[in-house]
Amino acid sequence: MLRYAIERLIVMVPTVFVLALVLFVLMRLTPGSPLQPNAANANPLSPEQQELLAKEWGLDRPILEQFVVYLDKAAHLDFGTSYYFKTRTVMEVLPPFIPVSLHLGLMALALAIVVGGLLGVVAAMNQNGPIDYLCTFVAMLGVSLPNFVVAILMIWVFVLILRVVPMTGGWQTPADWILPTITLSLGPLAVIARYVRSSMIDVIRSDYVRTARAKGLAERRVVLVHVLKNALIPPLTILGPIIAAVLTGSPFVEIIFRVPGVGRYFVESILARDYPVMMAIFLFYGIFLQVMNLVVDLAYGVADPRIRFGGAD
Amino acid sequence: MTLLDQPSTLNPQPSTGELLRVEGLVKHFPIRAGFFGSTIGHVRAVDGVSFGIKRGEAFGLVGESGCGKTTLAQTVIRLYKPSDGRILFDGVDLASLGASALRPIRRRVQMIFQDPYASLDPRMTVGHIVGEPLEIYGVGTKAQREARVAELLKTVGLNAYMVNRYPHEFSGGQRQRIGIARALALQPELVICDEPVSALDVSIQAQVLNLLRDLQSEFGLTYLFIAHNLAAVAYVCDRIGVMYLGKLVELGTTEQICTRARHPYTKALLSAVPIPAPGAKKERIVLGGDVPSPVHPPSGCRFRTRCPIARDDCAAAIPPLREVEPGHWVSCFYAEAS
Amino acid sequence: MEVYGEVARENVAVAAEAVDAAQLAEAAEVQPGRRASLWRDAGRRLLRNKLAVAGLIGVCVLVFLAVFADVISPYPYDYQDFLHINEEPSWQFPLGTDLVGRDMLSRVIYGARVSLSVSLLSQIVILCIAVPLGALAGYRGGWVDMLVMRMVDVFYAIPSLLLAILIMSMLGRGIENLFIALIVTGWLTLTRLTRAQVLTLRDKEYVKAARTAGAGPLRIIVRHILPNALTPIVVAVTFGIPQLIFAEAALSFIGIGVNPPMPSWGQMVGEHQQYLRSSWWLAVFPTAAIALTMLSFTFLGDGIRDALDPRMND
Repeated sequence: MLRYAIERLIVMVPTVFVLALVLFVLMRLTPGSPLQPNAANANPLSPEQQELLAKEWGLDRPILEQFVVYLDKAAHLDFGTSYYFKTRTVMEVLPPFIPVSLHLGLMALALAIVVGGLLGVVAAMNQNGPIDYLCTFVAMLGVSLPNFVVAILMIWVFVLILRVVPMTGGWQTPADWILPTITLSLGPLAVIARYVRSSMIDVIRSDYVRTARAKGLAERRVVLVHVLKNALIPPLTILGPIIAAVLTGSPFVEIIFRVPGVGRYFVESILARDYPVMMAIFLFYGIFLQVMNLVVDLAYGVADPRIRFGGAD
Repeated sequence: MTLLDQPSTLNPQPSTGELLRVEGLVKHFPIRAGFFGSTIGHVRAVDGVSFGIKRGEAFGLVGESGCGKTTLAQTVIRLYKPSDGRILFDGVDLASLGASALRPIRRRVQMIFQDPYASLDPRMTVGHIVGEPLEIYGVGTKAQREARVAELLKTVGLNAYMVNRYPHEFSGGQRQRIGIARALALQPELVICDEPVSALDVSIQAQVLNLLRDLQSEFGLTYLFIAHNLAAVAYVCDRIGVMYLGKLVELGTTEQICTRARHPYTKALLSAVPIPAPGAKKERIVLGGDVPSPVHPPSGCRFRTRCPIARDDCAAAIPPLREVEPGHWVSCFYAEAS
Repeated sequence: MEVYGEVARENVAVAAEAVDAAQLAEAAEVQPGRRASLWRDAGRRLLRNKLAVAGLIGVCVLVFLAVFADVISPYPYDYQDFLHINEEPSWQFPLGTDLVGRDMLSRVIYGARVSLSVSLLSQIVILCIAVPLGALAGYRGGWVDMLVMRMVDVFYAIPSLLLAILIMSMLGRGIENLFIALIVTGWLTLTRLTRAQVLTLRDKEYVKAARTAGAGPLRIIVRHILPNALTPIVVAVTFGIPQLIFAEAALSFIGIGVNPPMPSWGQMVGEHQQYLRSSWWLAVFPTAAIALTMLSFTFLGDGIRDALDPRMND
């Protein structure tokens, strides 16, 4: 297990490096960014400010040094001042948005895992029954529809037509949380349900379960415990991509439901060409995802006894 | 009734000279593990095998699953690059040749594969399959190739109308014949038969074995015949080599091996061949244990862990192949006549 | 669908890639039938699947709209009628008009053309890059494979939507840049899939037989491997198209996709979602268009995949 954990940690290093490198290259090529500030009309800075910025990012030095400067600044969370909020730095402006997005994301994730898991288990136990078909259909909808489509439809149906949910915006009251969370969770929910269902079916049909049954373990509960324990492990592997999906899906949901989160701020900074903010958020997203992947991998390592207790041969 | 009551191959006087000579052939497969994919060991599939096959001869290679005979066959035909050793085909060492140098040689060495269900591309018609070697080497015009394909099919006992059918429409035995037809397309000199009948029903096996023998005499082919069934090998071959865990343990003519086997492993194999006479009793030598892993073979004589006559010094060194009678070689310190 | 598509398809593909690929390849081999009849068999199975047929109809409608937009739509997509700004659906403008007086129906119809052309063209280019690259990496192995896999890993470290956003912000808006962004972020799946297929099929006995018969790598890949790998590739393409449609819609929603006045459903939704309460028709119809399109492709894609893999009928 330790070896596995160390391996995963080591893998993270080049990935984060690559992330930073790609951002560096793209920003270097983007007129107006802090790494190419001297482009006319590409950013709201005066020529003197552009010069200052270029110096700050070391653009007068060879490219390798520029990269080091960039890495150094990123490691110190120094992204400079926001182009839009000319008197405040990125790190002053950004943090307030983070808790909101975390909150929304975690709720959506929890909802997706719990409901999706339940749905998958129920569908597998009633295979080819009416519940299974319903679950499959819902899953298919969740998987095919983009979340901004779902968002619009949800608002249209539940707020405007059925009037069961009040029209809100922002993130003040719990009422604000309902629709955004459901919307964001729908896609991951569908995927989790599918995975859990197929994993359950695999386990139910497997030889060792049939043996348990044949041995007279008539206790449905006992079999259920065995089956569940084993069936819930493989779906852990998709948690990483699921978290990524929640993260990249959040901008759309935040925009439509006017949630003051990082995703919505990201989009705004893109449209406003506020590159320092864009860079910071991009890096945060990337690193956050890598850390999440690591956590999921470790959790999987703990859950799967084959990894926890080391490999054979 | 013994194995030898069946006639051995009848072929005209073979021309002298060896067509194939394998010297010290080694093929190891690296095992990669760990994060950086470092090599932590090797599967020693073929670990130093030497033999020669004379032109027109049928040489059989026998051994149980995992002993390395298929790997040997595929290495000889250069589907793999050997780790060490030489493969002398008509004097030319195949082991060191590159792809383009191998091309003209490939025409002269062909292979019949084991699994009739996997060795034919399911998306090609029989005609295309059999004719593909001709197409690759640009032999003749399209019409000539088609005629040759029809001729080949007839030779192996199939109907010419089959050219437009797909492999899945045929039985295992028929598919194997298609594979044989394909192998003969380029008129090769050496044909390597990798367990050609192992995947077939017993009743069909005899048919295909007979076909192989007839083809050998008709076209003067040289065979390297590989199987785990000693009876089949004895039926077709003039000389036999017995392999265990990547090495040859015994080598001799069919008669020598079948009547005067010296190596304990060969004797065990022979004892397992059923005698087709009801009521006939014989001693079955049952070997204990499992075949050791080819990654960590036993020290010294590889067979000692299962050998009924193993002694302490069998672990000290690998017994060399020694000639116990002309043309009959055994790798065992304590081999005796049966 | 980046959200779901990449998770669902990508990870069904990725996590079970080798298994899926081998299974589909084997299923295709075990019951290939006559060359024509595999497709005929699959076609029959497809048509029996009601959802798939519904999807097929939806896709056909989409194609029809896209191709005949000029003929069908009542107005040009950029025609502005200043007397009828922001109007509810009426007989004259069945889907209403937008904030500058353009007919929504026409714009939705032309939006079909944008969605379809962007996704189809991108997919074709991706196909032309990914399949040879994957085949090369899978067959040759060695450093070529390492190189390709490293590149895949690099791209895989970054969520594709974020990468697409960065690329678009670097290049600027517009449909040409959109192609670039979509292709650069979209070549991964198919490359990995092809590579996995080639790896599986490379050791098949009939490939070995072809090698002993003297076939070179090109011949083996083109004549033996790819035809037997067709099934998963077809399925991947069928799912790839809606993923690209989604990607375009998402980027246009944010505002960095196609340039106005070119009509894009995503862009329409993005621009009008704030008016949902007052002028609902501005956002709802493009949304419905996206929803129906994605659903159609999903049903069709699922149907095709089930039809081509007889073992799915467990």
